[in-house]
Amino acid sequence: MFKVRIHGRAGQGAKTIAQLLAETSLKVGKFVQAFPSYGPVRTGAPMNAFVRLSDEPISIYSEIKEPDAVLVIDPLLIDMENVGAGLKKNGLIIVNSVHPSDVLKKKLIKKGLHSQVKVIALPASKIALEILKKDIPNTVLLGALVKATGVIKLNDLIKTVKEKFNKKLGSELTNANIQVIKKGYEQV
Amino acid sequence: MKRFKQYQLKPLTGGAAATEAMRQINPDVFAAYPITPQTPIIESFAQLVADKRVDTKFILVESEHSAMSIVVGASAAGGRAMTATASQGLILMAEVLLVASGSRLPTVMNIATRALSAPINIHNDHQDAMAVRDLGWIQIFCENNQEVYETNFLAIRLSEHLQVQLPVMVCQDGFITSHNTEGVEVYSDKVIRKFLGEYKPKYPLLNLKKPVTIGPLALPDYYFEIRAQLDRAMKQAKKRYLEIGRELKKITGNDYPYFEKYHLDNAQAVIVTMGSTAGTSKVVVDKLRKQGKKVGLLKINLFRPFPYQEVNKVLSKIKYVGILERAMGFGSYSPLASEIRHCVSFKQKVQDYTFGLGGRDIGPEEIEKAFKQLLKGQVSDQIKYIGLRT
Repeated sequence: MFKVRIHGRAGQGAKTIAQLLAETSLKVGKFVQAFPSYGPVRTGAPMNAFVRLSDEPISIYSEIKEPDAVLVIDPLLIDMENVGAGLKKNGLIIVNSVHPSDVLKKKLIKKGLHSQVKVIALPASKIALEILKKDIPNTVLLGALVKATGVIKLNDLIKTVKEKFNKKLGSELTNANIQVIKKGYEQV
Repeated sequence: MKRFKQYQLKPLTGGAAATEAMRQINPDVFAAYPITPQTPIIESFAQLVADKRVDTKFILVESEHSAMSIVVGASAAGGRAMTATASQGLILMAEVLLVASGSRLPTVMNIATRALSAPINIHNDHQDAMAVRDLGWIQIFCENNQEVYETNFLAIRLSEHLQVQLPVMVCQDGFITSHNTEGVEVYSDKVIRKFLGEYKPKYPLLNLKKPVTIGPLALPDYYFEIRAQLDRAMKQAKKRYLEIGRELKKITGNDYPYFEKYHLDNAQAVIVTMGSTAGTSKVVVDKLRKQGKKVGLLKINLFRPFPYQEVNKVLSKIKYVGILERAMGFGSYSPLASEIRHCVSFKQKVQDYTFGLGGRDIGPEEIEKAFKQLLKGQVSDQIKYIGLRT
């Protein structure tokens, strides 16, 4: 089973990328779960989204304490909570950050991160601002996750994005989002 | 989900699974007031209405009390009427819930279970459903989204059965499944609609050739008999539940028992629970069984009418029984524990566990700890709290 935990703030699209990841996996025959955990339940408050992907049926219904990968949409959360909690050797954490990966890693290790976790820092907000003209870094991180883990194929993800976004956002914004995902993918 | 077919599974949250079922049921009337965590149901159903994918008259009301009142009126008139709610909404409905069951009006209501005030809390537990357990409604609890989807069809047929004619609640865990996307196998509209059939009420209010009174005054000369009839209808419901379930199995291939027996053979310690926690418990049972520990799980699906005799049969040989419940009895055993304690003998060792109130997460580690306590015979008649800070 592959488990992902996403740290974000309500409104930053943590749930959306969890959903994209799960729906894409479902299409290629995996069993999936994607669910949010809202703490204080208001826009801007820290929240988590979780994804489970498996070749076997999934019957567990609890929050993910030992993820294989962690995504951090808002870098300020690093100072507020233990974003690397439960990550083990060979785990992966991708953070929206302008700092170099090794600097970030040192900081996270001080906060208790396992030293053999792969840390990827990615200027996701910058990329989003360039392409989407808005600070919506969530899909950049998803692109990076796809490249770093190969858990789904980039083309399958783009197909899901087209299906889900075209109707809701129109083709222009959908294409911009695809561009953003690709950019995140290329950064790794 | 019991088996995986290479069908196109639809990604649906538990809320959307309830809506997908309602799309196929295509009720005449849907009256509702939005409340967390029922919102994914009402939102997605509103979309279906806006897209004209159902013929339903969608009535937005100013409170749940009115929502249930409209359902009562529409059902009495002879229509298929549905609603959905949670928590405070369900409690506000309480007065009218009794009118629905007392007037023997079929309807199906989806509940995304949630904690009750005070203090205010929007997250999951079972206190809302438990608070209305004795109001003459059939209650079915679901573990996952597939169950939510399929149970809605069984519920409609059960509710409308002429020997039953009782309202049904289909309960799922708020947020835990209502907001959780899973793959759901959706059956064809044609097959489902054939299973559901046309609703033909025996005494619709709008049949002018055969006028009837619904909701009359009944004093000491009749009230008691009418109440006793309601209880008889509940007994019928128990029978019909299995019958209709067998029919539904022909479509889905899934079983619809009163409860699911998971590794009960030669089990020494068994946990009894309802809803999504049954799923998490299965993971623990699998792990402990691999280690040779004789543990099992009993997942209650049908809570009202409660299958006492049948539960007694399967639990009678179990040495240690642990009841995991997401609700409290305040001065009594928890509601599920009270029922289960009727089904065991004094020789058996029973432990009540209360967990997860107000959405506190429960993981496999905590359930494993409970199993280990049971296997060691560490039981008492005091409630143990899982995940409570001391």
